[in-house]
Amino acid sequence: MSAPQRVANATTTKPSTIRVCVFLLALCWLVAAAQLPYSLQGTGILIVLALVALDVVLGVMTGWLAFQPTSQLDERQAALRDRAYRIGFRLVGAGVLLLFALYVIGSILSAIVLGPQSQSPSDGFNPRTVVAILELLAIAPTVVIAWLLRSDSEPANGPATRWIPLMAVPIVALAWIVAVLVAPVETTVLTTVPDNSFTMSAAKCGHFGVVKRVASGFGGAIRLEAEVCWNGQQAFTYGDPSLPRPSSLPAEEFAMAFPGLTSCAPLPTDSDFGNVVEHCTGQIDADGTLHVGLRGRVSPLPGDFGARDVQLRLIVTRDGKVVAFD
Amino acid sequence: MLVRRKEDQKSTSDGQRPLFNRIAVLRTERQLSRQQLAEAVGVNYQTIGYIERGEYNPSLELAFRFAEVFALPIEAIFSRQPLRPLSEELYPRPPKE
Amino acid sequence: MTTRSLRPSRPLITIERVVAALIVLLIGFGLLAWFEIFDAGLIYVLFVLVTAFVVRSVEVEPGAWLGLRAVRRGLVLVIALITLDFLTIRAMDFNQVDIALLFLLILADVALGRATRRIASADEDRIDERQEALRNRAHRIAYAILAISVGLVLLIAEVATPGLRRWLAESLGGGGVVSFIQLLFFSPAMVIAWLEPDRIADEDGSRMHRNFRARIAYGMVTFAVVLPVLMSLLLAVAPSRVSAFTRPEPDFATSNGTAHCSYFDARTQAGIGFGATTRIAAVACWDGRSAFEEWGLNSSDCYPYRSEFVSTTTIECRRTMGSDGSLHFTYRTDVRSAILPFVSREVVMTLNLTKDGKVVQFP
Repeated sequence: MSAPQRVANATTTKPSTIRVCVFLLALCWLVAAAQLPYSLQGTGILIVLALVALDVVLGVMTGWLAFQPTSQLDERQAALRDRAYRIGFRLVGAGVLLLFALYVIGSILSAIVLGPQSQSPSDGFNPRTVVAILELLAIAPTVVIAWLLRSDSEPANGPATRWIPLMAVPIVALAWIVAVLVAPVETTVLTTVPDNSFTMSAAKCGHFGVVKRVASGFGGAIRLEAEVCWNGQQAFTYGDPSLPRPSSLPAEEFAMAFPGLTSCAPLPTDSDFGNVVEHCTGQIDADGTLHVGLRGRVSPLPGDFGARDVQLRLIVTRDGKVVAFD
Repeated sequence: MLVRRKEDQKSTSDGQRPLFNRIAVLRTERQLSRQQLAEAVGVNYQTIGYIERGEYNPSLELAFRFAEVFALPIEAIFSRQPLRPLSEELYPRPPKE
Repeated sequence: MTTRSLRPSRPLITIERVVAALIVLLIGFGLLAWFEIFDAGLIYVLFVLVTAFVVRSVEVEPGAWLGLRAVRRGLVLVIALITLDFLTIRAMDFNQVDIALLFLLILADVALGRATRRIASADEDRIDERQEALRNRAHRIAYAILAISVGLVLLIAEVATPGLRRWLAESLGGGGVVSFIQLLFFSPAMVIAWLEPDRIADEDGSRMHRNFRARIAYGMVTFAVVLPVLMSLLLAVAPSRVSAFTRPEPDFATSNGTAHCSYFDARTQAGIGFGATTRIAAVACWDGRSAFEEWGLNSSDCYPYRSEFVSTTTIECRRTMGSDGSLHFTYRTDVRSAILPFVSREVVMTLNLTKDGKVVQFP
């Protein structure tokens, strides 16, 4: 191809491949950063793999300029690289603000559409948010360089070995599978006794919350929120009609609705990286002791391959003594 | 500073090989302060000092601006090799017999 | 490429207009704070913001001291230490020492901006090619620091114990925000301050940093620093201002049979702007045999009516009945400056009412 032809190709209005990749990357990033959809229904790992693949593609197309040491670059490349980092710095700042705005908007919409969510133990960052932040930090300068380049920087007949970094995609996938299969389940417990935000006449109450995460949430999570009350005769839960009510109290005591006070269901974000199914059972013994059991199954892969069963139990006596909560 | 001895050479702040220059000499000849020369070529006066010390290599455009201000060709101001004193350039010593 | 001019573009708001507005603001500040019409703290924050704006509009050289790389590196280390310290502070644990550290951090950032001529945030039309290359290079280094710091923290938090994860979430809701903002907005300037060699002396000896605008900026910065200290000292030396009135309360008298009642309202203001106002608002009655409280003279009625940049502690809040049937109520408060904790003032308000309705002392 002659020089004028190359220039002509560079100045056509047809969007270059590299910019298309940038748009795709931005789209995937928005899915990770935004709170919508509320749940990725176990497809979160696909977003991560797509991001990794696009990162590698952009890296190869820019010659990994953003990560090259100065000694390997000429003055034009070094100036371009440094300029990209300056713009990338501002991009990170804007990205953080956008993350925060998306979080606020998503929380508002979630409260409107899904209703008030139950009080959950602080279990750190949402894995989706972690992915978005790490992706932003890792790729912002490369994205800037890719955008500033008017055409693909690498010639079409370059060595095939430069695409070897694409192996990162199956490596990440394999690492994720191994993690969700063997990583220990992390348990976070939040107990508030007495619970000053909820009171019953002639009974004392406490709030018990637990979340169990597989692979730091990258394999899914199950959770239980239970408002447990006791009146010296029986211990019971309040707010979930599927769990048994005490015979020592009239039905009118349970007439008021407190959505989310007792919940045996995962949050939408718990299912981002794995399908989660929970089932709760409850029983009040003859001596008034409350037994609540939760069985959950986290399935990161289709067909229950690699699924993990997670269980927890909550046992509270009629006097409010917690016998078991694990 | 007229010339830079090899043993005095050091890289610029961004790792480039330094250029040799006669800016300090020319500035003295024309009785220009760094501030005045900086205003003439459109840079900060600190940059003039860094160029004189070899800690910064000017761009091609900035080198041309120096040439315009001093009314000299670029090669008379900048060089990749150590520069001889102007007196030797103008009045070379006769070879010893 | 055309020659770029180093002269900064003239801001929309000129220094003269800002100074004029500032004078009006300060006069109004004094009046409003005296009459408790407006929030002194808000006025001060506005003044600090205006000062920051004025300082940013001034082009100054670092000066002999800040021009030394060793001094600049020391400044960077101080900022880094304070930033790390803020990472350990949870939102609910902010105390006076942390507020003072925050103030120190802001001052250090102002000094950092001057030391680097604010190259890090400069646009291309304000800097030359060398400064632009330095700026971009500093951003590359700062980006690496930011990415490693934030990335490491996140990764560790994700794989760490739930307790550590909870600590991190609480920290990011508190002092961690300060640390992140410092890293995001000031790390390039810190890198420049660390990298740049010693400032080269100007042979002209031109005192570029002594222009009128710079003097105004220095004055405003000094005032912003000194003002809280002055206001805190005024708490101890300025006389308290008392306002009080009473009026009959026939409605309460009717319900008490033959008793007569009056409403008592008094306010004592300690300090000017930075201070506190204590108040007694009560209804007391008398029937010739004894004076008694109707409402407003209980221990739950003793609380600061208003306080700004001070802490108030109730020392005494007591109501007693004299053997002659008189009513005694004493409200004693210790008002202590939040900025200078050793500066305090005791405010005492008293109501002494005889059984015949004679007000012996109020307030």
